[in-house]
Amino acid sequence: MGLRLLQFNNLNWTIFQLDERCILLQNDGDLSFDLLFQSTELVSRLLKDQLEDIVPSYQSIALFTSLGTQEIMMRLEGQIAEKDIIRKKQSTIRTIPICYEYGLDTDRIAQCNGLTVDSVIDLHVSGSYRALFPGFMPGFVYAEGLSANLICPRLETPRTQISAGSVGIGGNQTGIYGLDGPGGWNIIGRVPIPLFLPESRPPLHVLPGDKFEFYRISKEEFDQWES
Amino acid sequence: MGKLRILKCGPITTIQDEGRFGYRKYGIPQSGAMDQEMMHAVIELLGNSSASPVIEFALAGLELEAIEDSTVAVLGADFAKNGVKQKSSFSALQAGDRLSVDPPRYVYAYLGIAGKLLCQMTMNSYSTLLSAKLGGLDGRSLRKGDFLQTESTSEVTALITEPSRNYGELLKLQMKAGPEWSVLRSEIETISFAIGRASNRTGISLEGPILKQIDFEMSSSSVIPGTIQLLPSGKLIVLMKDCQTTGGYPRIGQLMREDLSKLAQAKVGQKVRFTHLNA
Repeated sequence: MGLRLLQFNNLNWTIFQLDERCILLQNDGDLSFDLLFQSTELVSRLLKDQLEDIVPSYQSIALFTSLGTQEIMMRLEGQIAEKDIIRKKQSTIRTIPICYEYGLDTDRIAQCNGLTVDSVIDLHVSGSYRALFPGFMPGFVYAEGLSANLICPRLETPRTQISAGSVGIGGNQTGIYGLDGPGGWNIIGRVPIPLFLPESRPPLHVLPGDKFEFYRISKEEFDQWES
Repeated sequence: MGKLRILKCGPITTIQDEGRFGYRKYGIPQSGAMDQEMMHAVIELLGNSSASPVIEFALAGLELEAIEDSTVAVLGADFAKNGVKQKSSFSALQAGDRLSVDPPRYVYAYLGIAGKLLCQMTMNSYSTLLSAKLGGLDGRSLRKGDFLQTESTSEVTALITEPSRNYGELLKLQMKAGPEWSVLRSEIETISFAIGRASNRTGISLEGPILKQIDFEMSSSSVIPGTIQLLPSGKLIVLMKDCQTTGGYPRIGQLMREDLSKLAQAKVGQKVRFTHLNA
């Protein structure tokens, strides 16, 4: 099947040509998000303009390029990222307003964890999060950093309409809906700022790898924000 | 120069082009015309530039009125000018002329207008993505009352033949093994699948026997149009132009690009079979 091995950023990868414009680098180990983002950044720097697009996900990085696997191996083999390649780029922590009065399932999350609604909100607002990957639908970004005491199974029946800005918890995963759309996650609150900005570059307010924290706003502040 | 008004059209009538590239990193699907080959034939016929947008329609036809003199081309459907069936695949309309386009002969048909169509370019593409309201006209389906207007002119080059989309009994599709090919434990080259009803711009479902697979936990990874996923139910789905950027089902194969346009035009019930190129 034409699998090739690559040593890159002190990690072992297999290279797989998905089609003539897409090459997958798959990591066999248990890749940390730090190493994934670092490796993604290094690939971007090494291939520059010849990289049309790049899609990191849990254990792989997809490169969209007209370069062949041979050329990719030559460019990447043995390259190692500087330790602070990411920190230089993403040192800021974004703060995002959240209104918990728009939490549709806060009671459910509290019940799941044997907590009061107030302590659910306290736990959530005091957390530190990092955006991982876009996915599920345009504008949706998965994040890590959810407290183990806020885990709550998905709804049995997904809602047909979730408002953009809703912050969801699905099992141990969390993420923010960038657009209105259907969804089966527990909604803990909603942010008043647009996260999906089709006319901006980049079109996402929170980019993969960005760290962020929430701060609480009242319903009145939320409504003023919206208007 | 041209201007037409839509008098009637179906609910899946959208502006599409070659697709949206370079925005997967933000989770934005590729989109673009489902049958790229037929779209390009329309563009070439009109003498428009290759990145021009066209109107893609499925299920229903459409009715248009020329507000200004306009040259139009249609492939994948028959049409009539002022009630007279046209033999050519393009037509010069004068202000006041009516164009009635039949429903697509296959699944998707394309209408283009000579000149540069005025519509929204979002993230470097005119393609409409309904789920995110991107591109085209306000990111939505076209509807009665919309104007389709073009600037500048182009030269019709005629003598373009429509790509053949008559498949007979069996449509053969060429695929290469995907990264999780080994998860599949059935000989799919020997099986005929039928195009399922649950098919749209996001993916085409294939009906057939339940395929055998080994237990395999995979984390989400990149998928592209043409990726063949094996679902937990043992069914196959071929991802199409509006598919998400990542997916968590085993990617047992990747369809060759030229066959993706062919598959897009396969009607519900059409029998298909895969040819494995690098076994």
